Amino acid sequence: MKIQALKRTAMVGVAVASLLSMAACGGSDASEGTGAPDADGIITVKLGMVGPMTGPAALYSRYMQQTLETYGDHFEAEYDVRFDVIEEDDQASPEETARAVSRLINEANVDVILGPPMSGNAIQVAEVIQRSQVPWLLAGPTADEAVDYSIQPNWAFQTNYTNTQHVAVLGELLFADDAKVGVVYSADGYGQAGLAQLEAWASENGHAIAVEEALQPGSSDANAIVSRLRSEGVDALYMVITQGADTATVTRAMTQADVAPAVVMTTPSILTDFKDLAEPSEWANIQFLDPRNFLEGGDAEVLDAVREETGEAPAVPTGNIGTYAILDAYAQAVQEVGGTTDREAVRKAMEDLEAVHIASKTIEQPFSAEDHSLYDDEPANWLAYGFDEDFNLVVKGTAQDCLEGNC
Amino acid sequence: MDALVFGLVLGGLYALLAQSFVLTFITTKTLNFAVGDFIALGAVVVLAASSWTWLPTVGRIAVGFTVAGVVGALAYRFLILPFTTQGPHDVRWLLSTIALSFVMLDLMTNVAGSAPQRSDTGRLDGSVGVLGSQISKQLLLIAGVAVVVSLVIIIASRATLVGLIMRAVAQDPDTSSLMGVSPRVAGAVTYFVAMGLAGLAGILYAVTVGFTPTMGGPLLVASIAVAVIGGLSSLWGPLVGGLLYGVLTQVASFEFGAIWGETAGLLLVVAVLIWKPEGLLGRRMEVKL
Repeated sequence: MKIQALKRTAMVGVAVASLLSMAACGGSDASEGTGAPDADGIITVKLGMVGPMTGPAALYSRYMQQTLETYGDHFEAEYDVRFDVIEEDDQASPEETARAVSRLINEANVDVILGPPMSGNAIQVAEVIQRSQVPWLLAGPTADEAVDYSIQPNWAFQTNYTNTQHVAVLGELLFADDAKVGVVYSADGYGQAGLAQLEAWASENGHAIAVEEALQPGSSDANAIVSRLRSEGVDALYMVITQGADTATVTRAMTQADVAPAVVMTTPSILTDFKDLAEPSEWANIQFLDPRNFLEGGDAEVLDAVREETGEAPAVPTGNIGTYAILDAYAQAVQEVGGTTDREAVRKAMEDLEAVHIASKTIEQPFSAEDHSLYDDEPANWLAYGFDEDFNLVVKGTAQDCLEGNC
Repeated sequence: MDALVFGLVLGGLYALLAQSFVLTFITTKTLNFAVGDFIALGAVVVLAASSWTWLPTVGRIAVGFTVAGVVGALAYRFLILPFTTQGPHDVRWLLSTIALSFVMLDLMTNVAGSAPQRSDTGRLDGSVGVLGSQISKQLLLIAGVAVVVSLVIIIASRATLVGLIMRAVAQDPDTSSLMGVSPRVAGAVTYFVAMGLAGLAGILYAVTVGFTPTMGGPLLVASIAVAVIGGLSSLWGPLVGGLLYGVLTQVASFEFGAIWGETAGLLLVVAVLIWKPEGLLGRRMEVKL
């Protein structure tokens, strides 16, 4: 009996010791993210990262991870801000995103939230994050709805362009000289949203789209679509198609039917899966618009550094650049305020930033109280990209150059 | 005229796949709902064999056909036949073929990835004018293969011993087995040919759209529709069904927009099922009570 009692006492002792040691570990974690400068003057930020860490959409989280891996030390050296990252996998599901954000806010007590990277999921949690008054860093989503300016003060900051900005520049180019515009869109959320945005812009600006053709993802042919483009005499075409492989189906049919509109615009989705399924003649005349310069300057430096540090290709180049920009802005604001606990002061400091940096590139006055989006819709600030024979990106000029017939 | 020509050519692709449904149904009274994955299997095998430059193109295509066929025969033996033992109303094979589809899709995705990959084996570049329309030579090749394969199968079924055995097993498997013919072997051979044909279609089609593990999905619905329209019990059925389905979907696409093409084709299926449930060329099954 005595031996059994001793054993029981020993087991209880071990259990208590284990619990105490676990509590000590927890205490240690919490002290890392106090949000105030430590003895070395370093401010540790508890950064909650939410996005799909697993499954086919994992690359949308990978770009955030890559950028933090590459530039974490840089931000610490530059701004005395260290990011202590707490990851939450939302599996690209809006329901999981809501749960993940709730855990980050209520259980992990993070100082700031980075992500989710996809627009639909961001819209899903926008209200919750606004209510929680945690600074919200959006490097990937393009949806205008992610930032609801009717709620002030607003806690979301966006470093990708917005759909409204994109379509404003795109619309100017497509409808230049009263061109007859056709749209081929994939019959999914991405394609339908792209079409709706252009329709809205056209309607507001006194234009009409001549032909709207839906393409089922995975379609075996686009002959009927191309035939309608030809019969309507379309001279400016916008392809807003989710998969580059489906874009290839359209360009193949265009080549076959010898249909070649003077202007063919698409989206960066052409960068995935298109090249291997198309011939150089099919991409010779295709362009897309983006406010970033992927070939030189700070934007390109970020992509090069990610390649070098991680040994991987940038998972989503626009996202890598956007993540750098938003972390730079937030780190500057935290340094300015001297900590993370006064969130309102940090938010205000972000709005008042004089400049945000993307490696060696500087964008002045990036945000204001009324504008939490890094980019604008000035055609002179957007680049038109085309492709060379080997499908390497080529800058044709700014969108303004193209409007003036110089690209 | 464009719609007619494109419809005929695309109908050939669907007919080639529908032929695999018809073959298995005639001989074994089963359908393999994993046909879409056998399409992808043929393509991925040829993609893997693309570096075998010592083997001529026809040889690599034959490898793709054979692998798809052998996997098809094994699937029949181990995943279909065991689930047909409870009589004509035993349709457990339906679930097992759907399960097979998921397994094959996962395996191919793990092995080859989900991104599209270019395939050049069996490629015919360029287009050719047909009745005033520019048609891709590749699609024309697929349509030609469909017609030739269908004719060969029809002639073989009437003029060869193998064809005689197939027809005998189709009509009365019990009596056939009393005569020394194994319905199991006949079924396995049929599945070999049928899944080999699906693989062949995948090989030739991947040249156009690239290989992805899911490439067979969009074709599966169309090929089932074609088989149903033509009649599951007629070897001529796929050609007639393919012709009608291809032309109708293309005419609807040209006239009302691409999104309406498939809808029109499926409405045709409904109409045929109401008017002639056995398909346009199918034979009504008489059952003695």
